[in-house]
Amino acid sequence: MANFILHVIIMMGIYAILSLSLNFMLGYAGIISICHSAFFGIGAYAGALISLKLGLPFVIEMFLACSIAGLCGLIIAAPTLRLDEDYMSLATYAFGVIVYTVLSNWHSLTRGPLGLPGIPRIEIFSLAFDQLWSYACLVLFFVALTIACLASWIRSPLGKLLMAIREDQVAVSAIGKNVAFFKILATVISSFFAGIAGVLLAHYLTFIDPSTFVIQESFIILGMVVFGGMGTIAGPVAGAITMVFIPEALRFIGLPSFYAAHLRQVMFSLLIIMILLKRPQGLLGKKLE
Amino acid sequence: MYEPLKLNQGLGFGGGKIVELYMFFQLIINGLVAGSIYALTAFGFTIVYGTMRFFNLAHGSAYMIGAYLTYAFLTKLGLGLPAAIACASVSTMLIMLAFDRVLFQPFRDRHAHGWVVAICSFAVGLLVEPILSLIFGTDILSIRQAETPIRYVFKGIMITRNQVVVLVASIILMILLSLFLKRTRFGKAMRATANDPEMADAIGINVNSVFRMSMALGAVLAGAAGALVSLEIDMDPMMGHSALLKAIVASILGGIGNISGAMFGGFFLGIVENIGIWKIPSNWKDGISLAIMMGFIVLKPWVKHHR
Repeated sequence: MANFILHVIIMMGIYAILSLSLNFMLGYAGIISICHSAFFGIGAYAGALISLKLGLPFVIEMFLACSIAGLCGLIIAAPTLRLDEDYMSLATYAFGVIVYTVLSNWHSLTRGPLGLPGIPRIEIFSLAFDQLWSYACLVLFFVALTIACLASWIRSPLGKLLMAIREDQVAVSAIGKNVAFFKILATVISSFFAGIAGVLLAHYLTFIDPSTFVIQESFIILGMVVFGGMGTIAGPVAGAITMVFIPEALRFIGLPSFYAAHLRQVMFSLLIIMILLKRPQGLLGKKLE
Repeated sequence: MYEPLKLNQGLGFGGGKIVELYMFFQLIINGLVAGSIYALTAFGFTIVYGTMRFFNLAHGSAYMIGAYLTYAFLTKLGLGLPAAIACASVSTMLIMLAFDRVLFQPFRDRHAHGWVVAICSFAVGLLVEPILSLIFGTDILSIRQAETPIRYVFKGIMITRNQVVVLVASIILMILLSLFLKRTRFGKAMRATANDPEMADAIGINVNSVFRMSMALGAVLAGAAGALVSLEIDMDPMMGHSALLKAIVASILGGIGNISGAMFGGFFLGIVENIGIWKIPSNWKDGISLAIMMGFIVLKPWVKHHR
């Protein structure tokens, strides 16, 4: 039971990092991205491959994997962010599917659908995180780090500028700011933090395969942000906690697993539909005028 | 979603260049059949986007509902094939209209952002999937008969009767709907609304009924595409995803909101994919069509700028 609670806490933490990072570009810069599963997956695979093949220490591995995710953010953002909003979102959707296809077909590197087994547990300066509770602490530390970084950036001039871009892009470019550059920056930061979540997941599960990173996962992360309330810090965290907690809680009703899996999906979609209909600003969002 | 025929079926003779050529034509035929399904779904997808300005991510579910209802009408109620396909399309339309009334209407009244509605439609898609699995089970279903289908062979190029049905039915459906949109008063109202909803409202068009109608048309087309595709492939509760993906790619290639463009994009995608499978493993199919789409999205403004 205690292990189960720790498992739920770890998953909540990982998804909280993901939804916080998506919220940075969606809620503050107003960029609609449907490829967060791709950054998540790139982070996870990069982390797993670095620790399996190169055996670098965790801190360096984390930094490298996140940089690779951030680099992919740059690759997708640079050519598409000048486009019309709808086309841009579709381009991110396309990127999500392409990354999934590559992960599941590049057999020599990712072993395709077989996945990567045997990812080692984390060890930082001979301090091993091989227990569930210690791993949960590590994940919570990264959640705190993410919140601290993103919240301070949001309060800084950068955050104000991003919010201004969200409200009126033309006005921001009229005062001489390079809108495209700041949008790209927001995407890169966002994908960097999604990479952290990926690395944490890879070391937690010790096995990853492409099916975790299908494009539907992006919509689920998007759903968490929308559910909790975009443009707030507490919102995405609350969204992640709710969306992870409810399906896990369903296990205790004692349904056969066939029904439970489907019921989980039904609950998830009904929650999103209800919040969109009844409280469009999200659970903790500010009232929009 | 659309596996090509086994390529050796009509090609048990000759060798070298001639076989290559026959193979090429065979792949074109297969591509046209697959493309007609893509064109139907893209047609519906683009109509909804054109009038309501949101990406209907529940479009794949409508397709799936069409396929499953065809199965139900054929095997459980014992209707004939044409009747089953027609009933399935109409029922799909009714189901999607119900979703539209309950879920999408409030967003329209509120003038919500297009992506809010899109996320809601994605949630609808998530909802439909487990419901279908609970009713029909997660196993693969098929309405194709066990015996070899009737086929026509012309100089080694083969086409089955079901493929002819799919091709002809979808082309007729698309022609009828294009005429409907071009010639009737309603089609005009729909195009006016697509152009400028506020203006259309001001000159007395009932914009809301136009929205509902375009949703209905989109659903009928997706349902019909699903019903027709069930003649050719087996069904599983995940089939909607790839259908949605093709609809998005095809309508983007044709210019989103542009109906004849969407049809062209569908056929183009079908042919490119089938020829691509010849040389590239089919696992890469989705990635490649999406890469084409992304290249198209990125290069289009550039080309426009430099012309």
